[in-house]
Amino acid sequence: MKRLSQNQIKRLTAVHGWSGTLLGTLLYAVIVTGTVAVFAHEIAEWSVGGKQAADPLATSVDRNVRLVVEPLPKGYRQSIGIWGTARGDLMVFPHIHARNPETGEMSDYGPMFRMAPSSGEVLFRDEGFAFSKPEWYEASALEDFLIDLHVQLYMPTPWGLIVTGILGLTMMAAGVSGIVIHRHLIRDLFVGHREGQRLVSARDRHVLAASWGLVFTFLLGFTGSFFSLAPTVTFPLLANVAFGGDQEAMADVLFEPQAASDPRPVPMADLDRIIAESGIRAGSAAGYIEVSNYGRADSRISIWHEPPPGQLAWVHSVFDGSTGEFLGVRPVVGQTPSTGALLYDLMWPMHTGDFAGIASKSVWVGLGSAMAFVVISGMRLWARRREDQILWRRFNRAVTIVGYGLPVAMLSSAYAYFLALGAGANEFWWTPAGFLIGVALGMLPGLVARNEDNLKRFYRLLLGVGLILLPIVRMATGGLGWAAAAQGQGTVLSVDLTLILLGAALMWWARRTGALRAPEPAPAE
Amino acid sequence: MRWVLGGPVVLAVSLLFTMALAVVLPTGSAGVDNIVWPLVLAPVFWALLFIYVCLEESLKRGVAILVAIGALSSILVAAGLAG
Repeated sequence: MKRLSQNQIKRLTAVHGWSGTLLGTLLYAVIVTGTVAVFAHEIAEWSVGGKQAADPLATSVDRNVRLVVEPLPKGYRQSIGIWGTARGDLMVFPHIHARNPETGEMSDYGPMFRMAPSSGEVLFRDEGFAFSKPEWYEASALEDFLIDLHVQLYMPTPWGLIVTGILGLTMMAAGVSGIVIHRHLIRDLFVGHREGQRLVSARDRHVLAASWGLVFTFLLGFTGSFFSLAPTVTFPLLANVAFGGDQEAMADVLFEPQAASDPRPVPMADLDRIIAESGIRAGSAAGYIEVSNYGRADSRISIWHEPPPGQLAWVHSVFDGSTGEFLGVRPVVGQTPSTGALLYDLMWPMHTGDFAGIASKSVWVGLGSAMAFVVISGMRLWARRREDQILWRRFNRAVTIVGYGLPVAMLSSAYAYFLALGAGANEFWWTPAGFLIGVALGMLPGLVARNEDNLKRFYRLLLGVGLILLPIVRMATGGLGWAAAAQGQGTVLSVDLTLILLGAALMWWARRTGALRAPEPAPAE
Repeated sequence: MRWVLGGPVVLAVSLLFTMALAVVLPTGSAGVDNIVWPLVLAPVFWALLFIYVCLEESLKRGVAILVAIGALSSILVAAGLAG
């Protein structure tokens, strides 16, 4: 391989350093929230006190859907979304595609039913442009907030997505420039800790974590920027070139099962039988169901299954809605298998690690944590090399505040969520409010503390105590107790235990003597 | 100058290139490849062009190559929009 010139290395180092420095704090926020969001389903189940019923898509779906859909005006039969929440409620959403006057965008409009799957009782009915109101369709405000924070930094759509898309590109640029300027990649995978030389040692830690995570950095930056920029930028542009600007038509060709129009009214096939057959064919449970043209001869039933053992992608089975005949497994994109569909199918598991249960998710969390460390340690290195200037010393303090303040704020949002639940307040309002309160509280120690090491100790102690007390607050505000959770609610117990262990580790780290020993003076490399 | 080239110019050229691929790529057996490949790979196109601009020693050559890719892509996009 041709060696890079000094100028090339200089330019790439500048790109690597400045991109990380200027956008590092936002990038850190996206990475940390994303690392937590890997376990979003588990957090949702834990925060609502476990599933109250068996799989809501396993029985009585046919009866429940008929109960709410058949009395409705026929227009709402165009498309019906059916899924289960983390709490175990059944959601049925008959809807049409209409232009939302508030946003100017085409959106799903209709009545949304939250049902008790066993009795068929309608617990809530809301009507409107449903997906702008998470309280209508989400079970956990905490899960919704954490995902929104990761996906669009709690900014309005589409600006938040564009920002996170740019951050994904930044991550790719930092990863690629890191690879290119890396002269000793293999050796750096096993670099050891050098005592006493502060900058060299800090750089070693940064390089060690970054070396192990290089491929992962590129992968997450690539898939993350795809998920952010595809709906906001690329999809509309491609629709302009290929479909004369008609995004609905392009979405239909890509995602909807095709059927020749046949509006004759016919009775629908038994949904429960179809779901059961689909589950046997796919080898995994149904995750989401969509019925198009309910009650018409051209009705189609799409069932998406979580990745079965040995597969990375979700399985999409299609049935004839009137006869119940199995029409085949369709790729998520297009009607027949293709290389494009294969590529598209891989994006979700590559981004979330959601393909081999807890094991793959744990790897993603581990590498995500390493990435968060790489961003923080990179910003620190950049600042320390310039610490003779007051601006960079302040920047270094800001890195500490953001590095610890963000987890404090996230923890604060969890407290606000549980306290709101306990008080009967609107948890969908209080969870983000709790985050903002946590931002203020998390920043305060960083603004007043004089000694950096004491500040870090304080933050670690605060986080440790906060994590340990969270399960207690959860239970005190009406959450499931451990004795009850032991009866089949393993997720609740597991998350509580993880929080306590993490909290204990942070407290041990805060109290460990010598962990923050004053650095010996050493020249920069 | 290199920052302008690596910033807005690379962004614009990578988007034009992405759109042009929808015109020239074969649709594949499922009829979606010409949409899905550019849709998914758009961030990679940006990254490749960005790193190229960082590594290119001759700024003039960098400008010429980006202008050429941009111009060719624009022609293809215009043909796609017209036809």
